[in-house]
Amino acid sequence: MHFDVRTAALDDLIEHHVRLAVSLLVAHHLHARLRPWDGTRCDLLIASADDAYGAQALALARRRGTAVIAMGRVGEVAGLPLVDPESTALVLAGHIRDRLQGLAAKEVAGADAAPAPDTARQPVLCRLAMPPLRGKTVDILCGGHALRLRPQVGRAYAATLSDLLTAGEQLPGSECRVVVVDGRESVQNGVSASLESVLLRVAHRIGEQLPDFPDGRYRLDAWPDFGALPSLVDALRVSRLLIGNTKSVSELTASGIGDVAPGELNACLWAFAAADLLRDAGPIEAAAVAPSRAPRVQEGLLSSLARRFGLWRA
Amino acid sequence: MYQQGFKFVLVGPVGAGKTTALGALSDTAPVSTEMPLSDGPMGDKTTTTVALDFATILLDDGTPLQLFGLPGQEHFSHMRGIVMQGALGVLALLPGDDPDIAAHCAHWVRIVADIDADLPMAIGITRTDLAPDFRMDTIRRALAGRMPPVPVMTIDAREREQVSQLVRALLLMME
Repeated sequence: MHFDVRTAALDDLIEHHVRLAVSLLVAHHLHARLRPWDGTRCDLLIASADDAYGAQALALARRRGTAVIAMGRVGEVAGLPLVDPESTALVLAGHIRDRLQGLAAKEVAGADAAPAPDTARQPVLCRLAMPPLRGKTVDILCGGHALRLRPQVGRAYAATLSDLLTAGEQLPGSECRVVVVDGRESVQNGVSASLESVLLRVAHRIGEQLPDFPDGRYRLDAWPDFGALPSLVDALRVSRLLIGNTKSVSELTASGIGDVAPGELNACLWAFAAADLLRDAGPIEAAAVAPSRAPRVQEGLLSSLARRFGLWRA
Repeated sequence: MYQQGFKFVLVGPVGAGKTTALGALSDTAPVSTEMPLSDGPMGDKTTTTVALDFATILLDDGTPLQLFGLPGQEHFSHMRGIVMQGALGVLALLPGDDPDIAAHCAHWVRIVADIDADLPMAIGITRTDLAPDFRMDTIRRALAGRMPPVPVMTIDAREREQVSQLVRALLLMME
């Protein structure tokens, strides 16, 4: 497990001890990357509580719920126990190990169970689409950026627009960690976007890495929200076929989708499932069939409209 | 005999972006009846539609498609049935920064259904960038059970392609 550890306002000697301490973590099968604090999210912050900048960094990290180690001589600051700056690298390694093992335990507990080895190798998108992560409130931590996925609300959140875009780009990466968080946690700071837009973007980025979506019978009860991704025209057609209609993957592949590529269909199904919008209708569950109605528009006019708005290919 | 043209109608409350969306869709500058807001500016918004917005789009077979934007004020509600008569579909533009956005969605779906229960409709939620607590689940719950489900998408009414995506969803409802 790789952790992102940052330091702030440490003098050279303490910084050196911290580096030594981090290198000792390998003995505990913990791997950490040490970088200077830059204000973005990380797993652990080690900072001087005696320094104004360090104290500010510690306060910000604590507000975010980030694990911290405060170095200082006073004993305690704002309820935070301080670690003696003259501690040896071995002692520091013990403190760091305790914090990181706590994080690791929280992650495993949050995910209900450690994923099976074959599951762990799957793209994050696939893990989000399957139990135990399906429909869960999760934070995805990628290289110091946090992407907060809230399927219950249908939104994805990040601290800044840059974080939202960066985390979305890095989500396919294996370095990302998925942490299940309290479903009642409110996320109203920062920026948000449609959850389906974020997941569809990821699904299309890694389309070739996605396994075939499990065969079964599926439907959508609500339209996915990807108005912000107007280039995904085929995803609209996939949605239309599934909205209120139960279809098997093989039925979708075999007919009714026209010239939508199988990879496009597969990416849509994974993204819709990861957003917890795709309903597994089971083999015998009857679909809620939309009432049929006579077409209001002549076929020729509909074709012209479709061409005008880029729905059909010429 | 008078031949009514093919048309889409844009509906929604004041300040949701109907005029902007209509302008984004049309090839030429729309004809608008914008007047200064009688109660003073609403944020950046200083004018409002008092009669109709109108624009046309020429399809590739030469057919003109008319776009009508209805005024958002309730005292113009009598125009809705008149303008929607014979429409191919309705685009509802609703402001995502309104705390009652879910109720707005249900309200406008009901208005359109009362005029023509079979009239295809799609809803564009605008201004979500101004609403950090915007959530889609309340809207989906408010519209649950309606068959066929109404497409609801968050869009930027200033972006032609995003408004077009909403129109595409509407067209799929018309197939």
